[in-house]
Amino acid sequence: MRALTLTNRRTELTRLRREVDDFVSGGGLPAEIAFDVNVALEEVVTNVISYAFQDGGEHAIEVTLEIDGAELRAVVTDEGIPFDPREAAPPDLGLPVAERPLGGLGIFLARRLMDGLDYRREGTRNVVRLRKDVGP
Amino acid sequence: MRVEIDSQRAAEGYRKVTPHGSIDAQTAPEFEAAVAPLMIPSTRIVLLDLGAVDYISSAGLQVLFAMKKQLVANGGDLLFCHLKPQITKLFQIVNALPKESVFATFEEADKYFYSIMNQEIRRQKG
Repeated sequence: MRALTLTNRRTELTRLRREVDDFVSGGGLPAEIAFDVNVALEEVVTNVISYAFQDGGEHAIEVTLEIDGAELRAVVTDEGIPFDPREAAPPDLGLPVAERPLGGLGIFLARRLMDGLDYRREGTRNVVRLRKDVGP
Repeated sequence: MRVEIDSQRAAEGYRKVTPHGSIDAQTAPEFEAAVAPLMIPSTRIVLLDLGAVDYISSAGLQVLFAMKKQLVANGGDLLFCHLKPQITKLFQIVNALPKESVFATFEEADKYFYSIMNQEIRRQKG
């Protein structure tokens, strides 16, 4: 298991990605898994950075990574305002790109790249749990 | 982030753009700023060489989609070449990879550009 504490700044995303790459390759899993987990985690963490804190101050975002048998699990925890990413409206992918409204792709991508995305408000914390099947 | 912009065919409204590294929530604004000078009405086609891009997230996709919107409004398009498999997968998930805009090589993309330019010249000549 690996745990890291980020602050609510976009510059932290580089460090997050480095940690995920290191964790996934250390677990003997291929780079494709790291790519998917990286995109999903960036989307979830970016959402937290953008919406969870409205006082302009510095806040912690906890990320844990764990491989348990054939499953990789990531948990993102923050103490921001309640925000359930599952409620994000899905993008309309039926239109040609040039006619689509921009935005709304992040959580959609995260859900498609992972095999599970759950949310719970636990006391004063938002807890987003992601899981991905990594079995043979 | 480093972004190479080829001006060789600028007069014809055709630009080649080669970003390097990641286009993520942190770097997408830098990439957007680098290509902003190209996003003018006289630019019809941008060929985006993604061969040196190993990571992209929704923030990067949004910048590319905004470019595409602008270029289609200019009567042109955004073309892609040298896409890596994981990047191709992201485009497919968001249903944003029309076959006619993806090329394996520069030469194929160039050929496509000149074929649509010729079509247009013929149309203008009526």
